[in-house]
Formats: sequence, C-alpha cells, structure tokens
Amino acid sequence: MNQKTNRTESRSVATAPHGCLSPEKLSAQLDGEYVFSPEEEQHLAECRRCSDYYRSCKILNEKLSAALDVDCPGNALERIRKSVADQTWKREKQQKRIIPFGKIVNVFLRTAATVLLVGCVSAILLRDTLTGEDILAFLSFSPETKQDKIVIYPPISNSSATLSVAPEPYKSFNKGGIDIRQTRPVAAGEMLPIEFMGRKQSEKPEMVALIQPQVKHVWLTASGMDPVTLEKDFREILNRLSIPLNHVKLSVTPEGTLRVNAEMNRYQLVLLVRSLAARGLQLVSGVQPQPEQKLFSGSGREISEYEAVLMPGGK
Amino acid sequence: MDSETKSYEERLIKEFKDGDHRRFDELVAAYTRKLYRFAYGLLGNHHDAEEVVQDAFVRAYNALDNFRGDSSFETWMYRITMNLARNKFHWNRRRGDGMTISLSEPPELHDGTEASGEIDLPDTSYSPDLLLEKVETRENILKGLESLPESLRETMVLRHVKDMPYEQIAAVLDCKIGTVKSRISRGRELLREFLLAEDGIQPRQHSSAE
Repeated sequence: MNQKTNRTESRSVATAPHGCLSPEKLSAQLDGEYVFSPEEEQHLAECRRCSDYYRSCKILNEKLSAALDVDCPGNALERIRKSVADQTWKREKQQKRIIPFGKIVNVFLRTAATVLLVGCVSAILLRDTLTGEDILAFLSFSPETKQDKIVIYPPISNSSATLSVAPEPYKSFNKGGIDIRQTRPVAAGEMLPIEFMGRKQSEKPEMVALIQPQVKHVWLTASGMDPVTLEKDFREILNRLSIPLNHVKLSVTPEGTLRVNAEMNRYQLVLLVRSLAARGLQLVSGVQPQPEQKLFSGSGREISEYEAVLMPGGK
Repeated sequence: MDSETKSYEERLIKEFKDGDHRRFDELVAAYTRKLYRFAYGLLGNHHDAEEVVQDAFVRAYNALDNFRGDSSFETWMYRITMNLARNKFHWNRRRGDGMTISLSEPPELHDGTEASGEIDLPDTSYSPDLLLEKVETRENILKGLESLPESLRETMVLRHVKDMPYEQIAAVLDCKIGTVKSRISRGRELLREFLLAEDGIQPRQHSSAE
C-alpha cells in the first residue's frame, strides 16, 4: 500500500503545514487502505489539528454511509425485475413466436422487389416497344389492389391495429410500414383502426391528419385520481408501448399535475393518446393526434417530441 | 465477493451465452439492491434510481453476449449504471430539476491523477461536534454530495455504498488507485466545507490557518 500511494502522499505532505499528517493519509487510514507508522500514530495522538480533522472525517464517513444505506421502496425490487424481464428475455421469447410470420413477410417483400426489378429492366430493354404510360401503369399499384393486413403483435383476435400496403397516392409515404418490433397496441379491444399510409382512393370519408414533430397536449384527469396512481398508470402504458423510459421525463407538481416530456414514434404516440382517453382522461387541446382520429399520413415511424400536462379535472 | 458466488455468476453468464437468456433474471435479482443504492447515491431520488437501474439491466442484457470478462460482472454493471446515472444527472440538470451548486473540478494530470497543489490540511478551528450537527439529516448529506464535482461524487458514492475497496473503485472508474485516494480525500474535504458553509461559516484556508 505504501508503495502504491507514494506519489500522492508526497504531494500532500508538501502541502500539510507544520509536519501534520496529510488529508489523504488520514482519509485512506479511515478506509483501511493505509497503516500509520508509529511516528504518525504518535503525531495523531498529540496534534489537536490532525485529531480534530480525523474525527470529523470519521463522523462524516459514518453519516454518509448511513445516508446512502437505502433500500428499494415498496415493491420497487419486483417492479424492476418484472420490467427488465418484459424488456429482455420475455420479449425475445414473444418475438421468437412471430419469426415464421416475419419470414413470410420477408419472402413476400423480396419477391415483390425482384418482380419490380425484373419489370424495370424489361421495360428499359423493351423501351422501343413500350410507351411511358405503359411503364407507369406497370409500376403503379392499382387503386383496387386488395390491402394486405398485418396484425401487430400480440395477435389478439379482435385487434384492430393494422398495417396496410399503401395504394396511390400514398405509396410514396410507405417505406416498409411500421416497425412491428417497436410497437404494440396497449389493449387492442379499445382501439380504433389506425392507418398511416392512407386508404383506397375511392373511399375517403375522413381527412388524413398530419402529426407534427412537436406535439403539445393538455389533459384533464378524472376527479379524485391521485398523482401517484396517474404516474403509475402512465408508466404502465409506456411500458406496454415499449417506449424506452430513458426517452421520457415525468414530473409531478405539488398541485398534482403530471408533466410529461417524451420522444417516441408517431404510431406509439397515437396509441398513447388513445390509451389515456380509454382511461377516462379528457383531451382539451385540438392538436393531432386526437383519440378518435383514424387516418394519419406518414409511416408511423417518424419521431415526435411529446409534451403533455395531465392536470386534475375542474382546474 | 466470495469464490462460490463468483463461480455461480460465471456459470449464469455462460448459460446465458449458450442461449438460456432466462438466467439473466437471476443476475437481476442478485444485483438490483446494490445498483439501486449506488444509483440513489448518485441521483438522490428513488424515482430516478429505479429508472436508471432498469435501463442498466436492459443494456447489460443486450451486451452480455459480448462481455469478455476482462473485469468482473459486478464492476461492469457498476460502470453501466454509473454512465446511465451520469446521463440522467445531466438531463435533470438541463431541465432545471437539480439544485446543484457546481464546484470546479480539479484539473487532471497526464498520469491520470489529479493536481492537488491546492489541497491543504483542512481547517480545524471548528470542532467535529459542529460538523456532527450538520450531518444529522440525510437531505443535507445528499445535497452536499450533489454539490460535488462528478468524478468526486462517483468515487465517494462507490466507496460508501458498499465499502468498495480502492482497487475495485479504480477498476469501475478506469483510473489509478492514487487518483481514487486523492478524490476521496478531496471529496470529504469539499463535503465538509459544504456542510459547514450551509450555516454561513467560511472554513479558513491553509494560508491563514496559523
């Protein structure tokens, strides 16, 4: 030990006045990382300055250790364990179950890409005989193309969260659809259908809403809902939507208002908004996404910053 | 850590790498309390500590296949937790949640140790009993910890959360033992000054000590 600490000691000894023991030596001795020589022992016994400092450090150490001797409150231990399991090996297990389906989609997409490529090459090779219109007609999706539905995991029978292959004119938005590994409906039974890539041109009963990169919402909570329950519920929703907690900042004010700053993709944002509405919260700002809106432009994977204030109803 | 626990841990990691990912749950159970205390010491509140520990485990899970065992699993986990807590601390501070008074960090020398030219033997004109009154509340101590420069705070918390030996602290922080020693000494001194200064007492400097 003496060898290990020689360098730092020599610096400190130089600054310790009147031949007193250096703070580093005193501190290391308290931690059992240094042993006093007999001369140093004697100095400590005789020098009030050193002995006072030594006692101060000892008190500080004891109190510091006591202050940091905390245990997980309530069921935090179990909560951490469960949350980690949900985000790691349990999730992996669930994903494994949908691999065959993923493979099918993969094969389908590869085949489609191959056909498209062959079509383009053929069109170029045969450009003397084909008109521009012929090529465009070949490349574009027919408005009547039957939409393929992909059920988002978990495959609950009445799940209404769907992905659709985009027809014109929304085809350009579709870069492969929503990343189904990152998104799950909170409770499919409560959900209205969500479509991010549009629908058939022939039926257009609803406006396509655009979600901005920054969304601010004000919610009124049901009267009597305490902030602790509210925050717990909110965390549960985040967890079920697989929104990483390190992208979310929650704070509760003394008045019981929950403030949220988060970053998530727009598909998750729609689900989050619907989940809050399903829990009886009332959205009082008109910014998209609204819980009842069904159709959004984009792929759903674009990131939005979400800022929300959840305040007790009536205030 | 005793050799039995260590070999049990190594077995869990091996089984994890062999594909039995469920074994990770046992590692979580073994380390949650320790890491929670550490994160709490660094962040000073339960909510953030819980969040950081959760994230640390998820990160460890994703990286465990590449864990080579150069350091112990425990050291590795402390390092991950520390980095996440550091991010969280800065995030909180950016958002104005912190009530921190930052003291300037001592400059670092090329050999990795910190310059200590200014380290004086602490002022002793105040008896330890005065300090004793100041450290009666946990809030005071946590506030004092929060006021320390990051490197000192992390070193102090590692030392006091589980009496970690200097050698292991050096491994977690990836620095030399001498650096740990001077950081702890400096940290204690600053903490003591902070607690006394709370009452408006200005500890005298070495130059004016006598």
